[in-house]
Amino acid sequence: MIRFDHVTKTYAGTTRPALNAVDLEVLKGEFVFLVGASGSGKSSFLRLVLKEERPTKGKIHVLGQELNTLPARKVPYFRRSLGVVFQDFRLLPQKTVFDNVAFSLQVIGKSKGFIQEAVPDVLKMVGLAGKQSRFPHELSGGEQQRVAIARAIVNKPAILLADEPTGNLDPATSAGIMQLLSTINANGTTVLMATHDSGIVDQMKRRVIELVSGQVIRDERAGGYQTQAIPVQKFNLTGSLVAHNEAAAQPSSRVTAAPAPAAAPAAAPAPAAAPAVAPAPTPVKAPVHDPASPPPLNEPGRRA
Amino acid sequence: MRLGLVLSEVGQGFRRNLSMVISVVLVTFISLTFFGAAILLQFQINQMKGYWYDRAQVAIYFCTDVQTEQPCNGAEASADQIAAVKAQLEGPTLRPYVKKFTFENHQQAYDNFEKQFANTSLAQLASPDILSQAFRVNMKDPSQADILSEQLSKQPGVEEVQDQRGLLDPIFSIMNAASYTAIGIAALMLVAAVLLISTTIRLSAFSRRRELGIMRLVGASNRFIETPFILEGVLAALIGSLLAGGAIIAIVQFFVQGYLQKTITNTAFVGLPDALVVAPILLLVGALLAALSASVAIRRYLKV
Repeated sequence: MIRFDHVTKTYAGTTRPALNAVDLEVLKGEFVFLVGASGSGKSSFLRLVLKEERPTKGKIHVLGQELNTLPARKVPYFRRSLGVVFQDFRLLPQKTVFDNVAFSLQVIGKSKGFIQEAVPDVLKMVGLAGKQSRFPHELSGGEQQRVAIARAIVNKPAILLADEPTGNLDPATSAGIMQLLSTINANGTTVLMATHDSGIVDQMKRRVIELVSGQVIRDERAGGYQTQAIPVQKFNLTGSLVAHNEAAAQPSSRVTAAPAPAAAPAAAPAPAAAPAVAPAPTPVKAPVHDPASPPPLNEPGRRA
Repeated sequence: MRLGLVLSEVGQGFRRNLSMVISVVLVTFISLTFFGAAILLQFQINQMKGYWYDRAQVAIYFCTDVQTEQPCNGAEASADQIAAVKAQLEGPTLRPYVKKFTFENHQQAYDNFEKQFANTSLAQLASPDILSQAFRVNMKDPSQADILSEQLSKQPGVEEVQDQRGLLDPIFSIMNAASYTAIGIAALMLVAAVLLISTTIRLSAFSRRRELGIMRLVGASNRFIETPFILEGVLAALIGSLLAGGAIIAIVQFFVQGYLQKTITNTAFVGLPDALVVAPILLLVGALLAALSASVAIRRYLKV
């Protein structure tokens, strides 16, 4: 689905890379959280997947396409198989809910008949049946985000990218949105979501990829916002330990050891410490990866 | 469906920057009118050249006894000298170039002179003996008059070989200068038109940048995104060119044919057929320039 091979992205005029030699793979049907502080490279990651940016080094494969060699005129067609949701919804204020969703189909040349069918369906799915002719400003934030999600998935994309979709929403509304994203994921869409919302991440127990200063320092299955439960990939942890502890020092509902220095041993990825903070010491489920896929699998010793 | 959508976007764009669109129409109108006038002037020059050069003769003037300077020295050309020139004109070297020639003696020259300058004091000053005898030669190709002057101007008894085309040259150079001036003005105005069109399109794109962003995100093809903008520019320019074409036709019909042709009867002027050739050229130039500048202007919004 998505594979990054040693991808580095350095923006013009800066020396510190936004992403630094990132290697990872996301498989079909996965639900992946991308966590990390602001500026850690989450948005750059999503922009690279969308081919809004080109990597400075390395190769990116998305949906079987090598993005570096994808010609510019084919990019629009590539994007039709991706859906994107943002923190700020990005709805068109002068269009109704229906028209906002229909717009994304109109501009890729879908027929009127198809639109008349697909839009009400998707609005029903996101729970906005009956609000078709409302304008965005008449809706609550959660409803607006549902419209944005409807717009993103109405064309049945294989991948849904969400850049902090709950960033503007209260916890209860966020839970509703997450419910919706789970449903979409259950229907077979790969979901990649960048977020700061530790509550959601801890609760969902999905794959978590943590970025610090453009490097993947953690990639675990059924992970929490800050824990090191079941790594999908191994990292040079001594190198990234300090950075990791910085992240661990941030307030979180899950971490009980409050002061930063004290948190170090607790949150450290030492095998013995891991179960203590793991959100739920679940045994590893059958890996979602198929056996042929490249990412390093769990080391038995790391399991609880 | 798609065509309707594109056209409705064009309509929106027109309504949104009506004043800019009007200025584009006016500037293309004026610039293309100048451009058309320049083309018509060139047509006129060609037509007059054809008309006058066919009638222009080469005159071989013979010495009279009033001519005291070189090469005559106050000696009337003798009958032998005139016969020698006549023999040359009929000889093998010049025969192929000469269509026909006539001899004009003193009395005929005086009659012609009196006719030409009737009712002026000049006619009273002239007398038959001071007007030169002459051969009036019609060339097969008027531009080869130099051959005659090369061959005959050094003949004894010949005062001067005069190519009458030379008399027309000042008129043509004035008309040429006028046409170049018109082209210069047209070029300046066209530059203004191009800049104005691209500014208008940029403004239009800026006011629709939210839609553009979403279109790019959901994978609308570049052609789909740029078409409404290019059409907007082309349509505005086409209105201007239509006005310019109309103006050119009106000028030819009512000013040139309706006024000039009636006042100056001995010259052929450009007619409606010429104007009907120029008008489509103006439409084409206007549409092409607009399409070009609009597509350059919109390119910035299409970068992937």
